Amino acid sequence: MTTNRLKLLLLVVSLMGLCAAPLLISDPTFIHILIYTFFFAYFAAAWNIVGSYAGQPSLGHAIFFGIGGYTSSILFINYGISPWIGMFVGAILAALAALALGFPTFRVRGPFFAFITLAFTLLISLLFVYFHDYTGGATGLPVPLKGDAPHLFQFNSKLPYYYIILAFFCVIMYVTYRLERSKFGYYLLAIREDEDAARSVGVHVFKYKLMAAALSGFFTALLGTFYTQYTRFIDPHEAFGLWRTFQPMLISVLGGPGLWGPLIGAAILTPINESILMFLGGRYATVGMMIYGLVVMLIMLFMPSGIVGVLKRFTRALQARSA
Amino acid sequence: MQELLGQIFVQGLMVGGIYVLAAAGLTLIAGVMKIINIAHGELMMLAMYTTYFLYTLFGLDPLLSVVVTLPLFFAIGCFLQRFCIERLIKGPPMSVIIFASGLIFFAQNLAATLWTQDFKVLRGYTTITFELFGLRLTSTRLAILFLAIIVTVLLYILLSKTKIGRAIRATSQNVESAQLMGVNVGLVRVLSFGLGVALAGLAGTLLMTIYYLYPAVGTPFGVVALIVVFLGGAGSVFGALIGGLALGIVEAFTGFYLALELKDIAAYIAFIIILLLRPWGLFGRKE
Repeated sequence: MTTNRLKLLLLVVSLMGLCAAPLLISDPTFIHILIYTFFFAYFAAAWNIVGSYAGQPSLGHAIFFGIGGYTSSILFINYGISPWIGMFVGAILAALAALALGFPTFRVRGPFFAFITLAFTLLISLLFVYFHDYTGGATGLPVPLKGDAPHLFQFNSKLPYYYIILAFFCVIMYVTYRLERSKFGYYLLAIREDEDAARSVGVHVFKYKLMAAALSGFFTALLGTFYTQYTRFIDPHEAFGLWRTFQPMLISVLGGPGLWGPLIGAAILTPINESILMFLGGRYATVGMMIYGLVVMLIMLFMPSGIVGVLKRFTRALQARSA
Repeated sequence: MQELLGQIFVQGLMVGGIYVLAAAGLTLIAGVMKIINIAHGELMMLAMYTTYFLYTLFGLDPLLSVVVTLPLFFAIGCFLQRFCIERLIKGPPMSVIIFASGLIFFAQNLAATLWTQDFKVLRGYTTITFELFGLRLTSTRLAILFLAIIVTVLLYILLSKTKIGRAIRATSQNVESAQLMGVNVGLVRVLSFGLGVALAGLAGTLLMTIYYLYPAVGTPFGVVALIVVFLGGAGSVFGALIGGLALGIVEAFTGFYLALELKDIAAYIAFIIILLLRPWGLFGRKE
């Protein structure tokens, strides 16, 4: 009981610290890095529902991200609908898309699944370029500037965006926390560990995989809208590019499985990524991503349970010594 | 009209030849090791760059650079299997996929860093065009088709008639039994992976003669190769031959009748339909 209270206290204090941080250090670069840290952590956490808990290594989450970003922007540009509403329209569309995509793709397992979802990402990207009358084609869609307009999800300073993404992150953490303790969550774990065994004890594998995909797609699409409003731009490369496709998996794998993995992964990767971009400039952006690729390969070879796994082993060793 | 249709058909066959080579390597690996090398297309891309630089720096004919790329990529494949994949297949189930995702990411950005995102073509490389039965053909495209068929036949002979082929097939059927019969399973894995990657290298080299080059060029080809493997069944070289040529032809006709931008989409859609109707593959057997 006391440890639970201690944990809660720790959570509240760190949350207050996070709320106060940009007020104490108001440097825009610092806030920018904070925003992206929670952005990536949220992305990985939303991906985890399918990728980690259900154990289906999806390379199709860029599709949901893109649907979110495009839907809110198209509704805003063509019909003047506020992105706040468009965001949820996009999220519902993405959940439906997740069901539609899951229907064929969940029929295959493991490695085939990863590759097939990658194929779908390429397919959707081609379609978005082809239907350029609606999507702006390869040049993309700029979100028109309306100045400081909170009701249109636009702000002059970075600060509101920070609080929004922090709130987003808290929501996804709560969802994951509840998921870990729900029947649904246990079904997903059972599917991850042994699909055939899960089926043999009566878990409706296909149904729960689809449910996980819809939930994951819904939350990923919300992030798509956030990103488009923050950068005020979306194009097929930003939405469906290789970087976007691998991003959540990369962070999730680096951080490790479980509730806190995404945040740990993002807290390590984001500052490195953003400083490479800032100090080396766009020309060397690829160097940073090259290093990421290498890091992922090395992690899989030498510490497949991620940073969380290493930390766990470290604390266990400490406990063993003190005992 | 008939000539035009014939022309499109031949065009499709030639592109299909590349798919066959890429898929043959992938299907070999999939059959023996039960893993899918999703970085197959990226290895093709690296072979394309090798061919490109051998041509521009040393003037080596792209078709001849096969003598460099084949052994080089065989060695790369053996190295990857011996020092990376062998470790990973003992780890958590998704390790190989995630490792290969990292490899895709690494390879593409390596290419972008070293050689920029610019499109590259083999400048000044000329091919001989000639007419046969009223169809216009180029020498390189014909060479690709012939090589695809020859390599498939050779691979088929290797797998069905030789001792090492028997060891490879035994390993793909049952690892423990093969081991009990005295098959060096580790060696078989290294050789099959090396051979698979060497075929990706060959496909990349040949692709360079008819296509343009940029860092992300490999991904769609890797995906198409996987679709072919799925259609033909993992481990089936014959399936890869039929599937690859069929997909090439389907693409050529979609490009002609619908829109050039949609030619890639046809392969995906055909694939999705088959996935819905026969989730175990076109020639594969139901589990």
